[in-house]
Amino acid sequence: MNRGVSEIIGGATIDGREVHLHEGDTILTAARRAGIHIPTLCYSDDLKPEGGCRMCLVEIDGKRRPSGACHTPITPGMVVHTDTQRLTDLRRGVLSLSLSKHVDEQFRPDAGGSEFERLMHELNVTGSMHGNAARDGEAIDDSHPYLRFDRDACITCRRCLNACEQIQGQFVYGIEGRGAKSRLIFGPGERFADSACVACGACVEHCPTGAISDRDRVASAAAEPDRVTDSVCGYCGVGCRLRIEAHDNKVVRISAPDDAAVNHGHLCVKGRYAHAYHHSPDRLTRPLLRDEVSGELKPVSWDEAIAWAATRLAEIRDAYGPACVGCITSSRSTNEAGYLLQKLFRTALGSNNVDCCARICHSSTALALQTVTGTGAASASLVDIERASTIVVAGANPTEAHPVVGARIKEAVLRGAKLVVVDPRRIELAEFADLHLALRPGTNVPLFNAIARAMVDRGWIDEQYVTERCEGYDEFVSFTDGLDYDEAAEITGVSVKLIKAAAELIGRSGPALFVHGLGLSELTQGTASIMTLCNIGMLTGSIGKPGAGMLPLRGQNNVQGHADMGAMPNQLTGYQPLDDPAVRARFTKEWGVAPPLEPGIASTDMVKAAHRGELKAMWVQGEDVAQSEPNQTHTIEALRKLELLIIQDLYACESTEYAHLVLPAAGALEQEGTFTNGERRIQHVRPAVDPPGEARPDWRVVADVAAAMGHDWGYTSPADVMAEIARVAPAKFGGVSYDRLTPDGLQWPCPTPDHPGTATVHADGFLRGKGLLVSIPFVPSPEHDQNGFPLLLITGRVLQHYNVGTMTRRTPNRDLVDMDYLELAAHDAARFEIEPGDTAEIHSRWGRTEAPVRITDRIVPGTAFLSFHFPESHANCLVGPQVDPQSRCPEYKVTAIRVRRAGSESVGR
Amino acid sequence: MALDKPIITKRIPTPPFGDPADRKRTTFAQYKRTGGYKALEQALGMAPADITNVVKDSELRGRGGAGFSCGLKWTFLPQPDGDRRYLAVNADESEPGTFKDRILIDFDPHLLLEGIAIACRATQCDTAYIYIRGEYHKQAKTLLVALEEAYANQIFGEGSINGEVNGRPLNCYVHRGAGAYICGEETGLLESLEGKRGWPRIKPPFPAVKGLFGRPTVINNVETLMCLPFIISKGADAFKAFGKASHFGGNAPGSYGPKLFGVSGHVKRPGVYEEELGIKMSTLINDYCGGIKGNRKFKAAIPGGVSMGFLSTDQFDAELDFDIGRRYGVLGLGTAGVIVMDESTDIVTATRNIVRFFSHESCGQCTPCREGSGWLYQMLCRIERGDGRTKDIDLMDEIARSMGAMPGTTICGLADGTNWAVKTAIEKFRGDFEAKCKPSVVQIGVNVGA
Ligand SMILES: Cc1cc2nc3c(=O)[nH]c(=O)nc-3n(C[C@H](O)[C@H](O)[C@H](O)COP(=O)(O)O)c2cc1C
Ligand code: SF4
Ligand code: SF4
Ligand code: SF4
Ligand code: FES
Repeated sequence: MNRGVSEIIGGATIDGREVHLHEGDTILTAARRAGIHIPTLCYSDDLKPEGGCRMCLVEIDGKRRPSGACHTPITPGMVVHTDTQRLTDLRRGVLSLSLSKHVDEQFRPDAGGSEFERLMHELNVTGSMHGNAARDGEAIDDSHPYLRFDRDACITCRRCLNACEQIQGQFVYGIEGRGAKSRLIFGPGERFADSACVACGACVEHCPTGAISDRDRVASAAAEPDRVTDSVCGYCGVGCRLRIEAHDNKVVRISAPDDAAVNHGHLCVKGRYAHAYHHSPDRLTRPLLRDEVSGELKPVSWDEAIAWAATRLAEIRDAYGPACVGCITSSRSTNEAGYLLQKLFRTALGSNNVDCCARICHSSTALALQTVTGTGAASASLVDIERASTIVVAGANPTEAHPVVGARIKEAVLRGAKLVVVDPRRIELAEFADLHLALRPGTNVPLFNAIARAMVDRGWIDEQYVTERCEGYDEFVSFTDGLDYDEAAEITGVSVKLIKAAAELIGRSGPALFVHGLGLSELTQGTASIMTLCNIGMLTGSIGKPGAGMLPLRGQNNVQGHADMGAMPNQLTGYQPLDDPAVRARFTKEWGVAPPLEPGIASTDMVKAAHRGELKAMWVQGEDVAQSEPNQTHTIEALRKLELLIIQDLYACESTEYAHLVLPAAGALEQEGTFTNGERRIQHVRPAVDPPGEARPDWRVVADVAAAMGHDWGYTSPADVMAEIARVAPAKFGGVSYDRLTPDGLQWPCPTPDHPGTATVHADGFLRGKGLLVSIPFVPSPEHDQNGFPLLLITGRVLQHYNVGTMTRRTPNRDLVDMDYLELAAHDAARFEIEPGDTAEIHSRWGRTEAPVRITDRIVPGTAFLSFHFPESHANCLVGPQVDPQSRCPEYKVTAIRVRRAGSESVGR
Repeated sequence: MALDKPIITKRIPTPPFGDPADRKRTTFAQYKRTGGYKALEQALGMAPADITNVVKDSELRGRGGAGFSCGLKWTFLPQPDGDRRYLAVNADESEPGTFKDRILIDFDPHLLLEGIAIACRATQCDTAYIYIRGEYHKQAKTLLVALEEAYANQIFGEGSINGEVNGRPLNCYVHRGAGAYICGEETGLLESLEGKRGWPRIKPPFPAVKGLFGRPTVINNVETLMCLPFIISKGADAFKAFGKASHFGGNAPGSYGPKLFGVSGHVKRPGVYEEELGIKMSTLINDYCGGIKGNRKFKAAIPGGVSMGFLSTDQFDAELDFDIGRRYGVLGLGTAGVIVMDESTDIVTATRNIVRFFSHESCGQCTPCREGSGWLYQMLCRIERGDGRTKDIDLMDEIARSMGAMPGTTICGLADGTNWAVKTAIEKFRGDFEAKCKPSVVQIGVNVGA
């Protein structure tokens, strides 16, 4: 990968032409740069040379033997011939030998065929001159829902193997046997579906013959794409760029552009394969209005739906006042949709009751970072993963929840970066880690404080940085001096030795990159967890340095964006204070109406207010609140009490049961707009297919309702909305406009049209002036040490599914994982007399549910894990009502439970 | 000058100087008593570069098969940087017809250990691994016993006479292979030592720069290392008194020193003999091995391990030295494990047998070797069965040449071995093949485009 411009270090001659040499050049790279073509087969730009196919042989003057161009370094003065008769004979001979093992019809020379067939065409080889092996064709392995392996087409070039190892860090493939009996295997099992494959598709992208291929590609082979669109993935907050091929308004294949800044051509099982939900037969295609007489949802026209919504919203505002209406914007929707919905509520309805689902995931992160650094977002970027010498992953499981980032971290570690994992579970990255701190759920604060104390005690800190850039150090030292290691070990379950080892590893290896996730934020001490992690970030001089800093992993594709857009009850677009006169003046000028001064309430509080009968109307964009909000029973009661519930979604869901108006929305691949990923990168989303039926993009619908309420905003496209966003929040977005977003978008802050965007925030000092070291003591969660509830439950994601599963359950990912499991340590399973395969009955103080049990050593005794992708498991009815007092983020990550075998009499203790 | 007394086999009774029945393992005490470890003491008094120079002057060439200058190879190492450097001792000896290293280890293991210590001194390596063929159970044990003695007597380890190298004591370990011929190839050996599949590496980087665990590494054969004590104690000239300069004159490297020849096949007394390089094959067979078995006629021989190709019937007098390749149309001297075949031998069967070995042992990395060896084997089976056509012979020859005539088209030398066997067999014994083939009526190579 020669991305940067490197220096010319001399010249050589290839086929009589002078070529420039750069550091690290092989004969092949130098030739390619000069436009000289050398046939290759096992080589790929982004992989280390394998050297096995011997197709790239060239002759070098003064050397008797031909050399492999892909792996032989080129030296100044070298004279190389790539196109002699001898070489052509050799290459044809080798190609013919490759073919000798294949059945005759397998490959046909074809200028437009697979890479292998194109090579046959180029070398004018039509078949094997050695005759074909008299062997029976082997059965195609299509055991996997997405990948298909055709052994007859495999030439054992091992590009798949190298891609899997070097891009995904997964080590699925191996070679079995030797000599002519060598063959590709995928672990000990015979079936591909039984392998360790995570379906990232990297091998498919690299296979030159199509032996390993996408099933959907094969199925749609006849369907030549009639529309190819570059856009952004609608799943997690990594924000991978996609290239979507569609035929007849159906997605047929998704791949990733090699030059994508975020994902370098890589994707995960969700982004690449799980797109079938767009074409699910149960998509909502018409607006539905609840019939007053029958109580049923009945299709209506858009005109009727919009007029009805405008009227009802106005009526309720007039009857009960603006404090009684509220909205939750969808992190899966575009920035433009979120911006407009909060604008609608702040202008036409006069209410600051606007929030987004970031509330229930990363509100703590945003608040913590805002408080101690001055901006509520990542200080670092994804490229810092490759630059980092030490990576700390805390409360995040990237290989499952943010797979492309997970792969990048694995690769960084394989190249030599140090890794510390802080997580109650032995997640996949823990296997790659130098240290794994398996703490008790909800005890991050005492752990980070103890690590900080060890750093201070031993002087493993960046003193100059702390003196020059931070404040609160003296107070912090007297606070940590008062901490006791043994007590911290007792609370966290992490030994003093390990605490000190972590302090040494992180403290002594210079600035570190801190990758953190919901395991830190969804706690009653969520904000505190992140602030105490920031302490370590500051002590080590990490924040604001390249290859280091804070990198929160955003859950959904656009949570970052919706917080940025002002879908927050207490801040306006671009994190601007509601009460700043200059800010207010700017908004008033742009909106024609002043935003209300009084802060609104958070989404978690909206549900409570609805339950109390104080909130009367809610507009919910693309979130199944009945499933995703904590304490499900309470939430459903609250929804029932609403006088008006408007839901914009792709499908009917739990919440639509209680809705008065349901508006069919466009999916991620069906609309234009922007998404902002976790590294603050605003990227252009383009429609790859049209929405089904009458479904419409969210932004359009909001604008139409506004117009019906007398606020005609006059946008003709989402680009107009972005132009307004740039005007109202110039410090962050002033330089952002659609024509600057190709190909890789812009990372905010980007204040002016000539500003390149910002990869590392706080590089020249903290935005809040000085970084704040905070002294926060441990406060146990109300769920800790509850009598009669001996286990602490964590809820979270698995790789194959996404949040409440509305999307992934409508794809073949369901064939990969078809239910939620309760993960228990063997010790606990034995203690509660549960056997593998049993279904457990799970009780918390707030609710009960059942789930099948998986006994695993990935979890420490005393802790249990349950994913929340399938409605049947009702994971969130177990979760309690407590929230972080600062951020109002619910505590999804710690719930005291007890378990027993379903149907058994014994009560676990 | 012909050997008048044994040099390398000094402690291993070998005809004509001794009776093999008297062979036993030389213990540390016996070794020491008979002048052992003197050369090491001498070497420890010399600067590393001076040792290397003496070895260079001796023109010692590798005994593992490739015949590369030992002293020169050592100079490819970078300057020590204080971190580890390795010596990998190649005792994988898996080539059919080759068994010289086995006897050396069996009966005089300390000569190897002394050679190792001297090489480490010269190259400033602090850790040596003896990579020994998996099937050499007994020899591995012998080495472990000898090593224990050597450690107990301060040859290796903490506080040994070697002092510290790169800030570490000199250590030596035995590592057993698991039964793959390819692990004798030097970089396959390194991969295997690292615990990976023994797939040869692409070069550069060469092991001298980036070898075992990414560190500078020297790889030498057992017999090569066993020449070192003699060279150090008696001097380069004493070594060069045996053998001769190259027949090609000029700068061409010569063939000096005593050499072990392992003779097998149709001779009356097969076994390992020590003689100077350049001895005539006929002398070796007639004078040392008692002539051809059953007094039959000589038909063919392979000079050193099956990868070298065939010597023809009229090359009975071939001189066994490093020039043999160019002079007699074979790949080289190889391991000097001479396989002798009398007039009753069917060359087609012999070739098929050799190719079967290579197709089984190909590591499978390179397409030409992986597919080519398998294809050649099938073809040879076909001809042996009487189902071949004369055209097949040409096709085989072409494949063998396209891979073998230009050695180095593959990652390692294994493919060359396959092809030299086939190519020389066809070239020198075409009649044997034709006799089994039906005349060609159809052309085989039809599929390659015009
Ligand atoms: C396929 C193959 C197998 C080899 N096997 C051996 C072996 O068993 N023992 C050995 O000493 N050298 C073997 N070699 C040669 C080694 O690669 C290497 O040249 C040798 O160990 C270097 O030591 P020397 O310079 O002291 O001879 C083999 C080479 C090839 C290509
Ligand atoms: S899809 Fe990804 S994980 Fe699966 S085998 Fe291919 S490269 Fe490996
Ligand atoms: S599956 Fe494809 S990439 Fe993998 S070894 Fe076979 S041909 Fe090569
Ligand atoms: S030539 Fe044969 S044995 Fe050597 S690396 Fe290539 S495939 Fe392996
Ligand atoms: S492309 Fe160079 S060896 Fe395969």
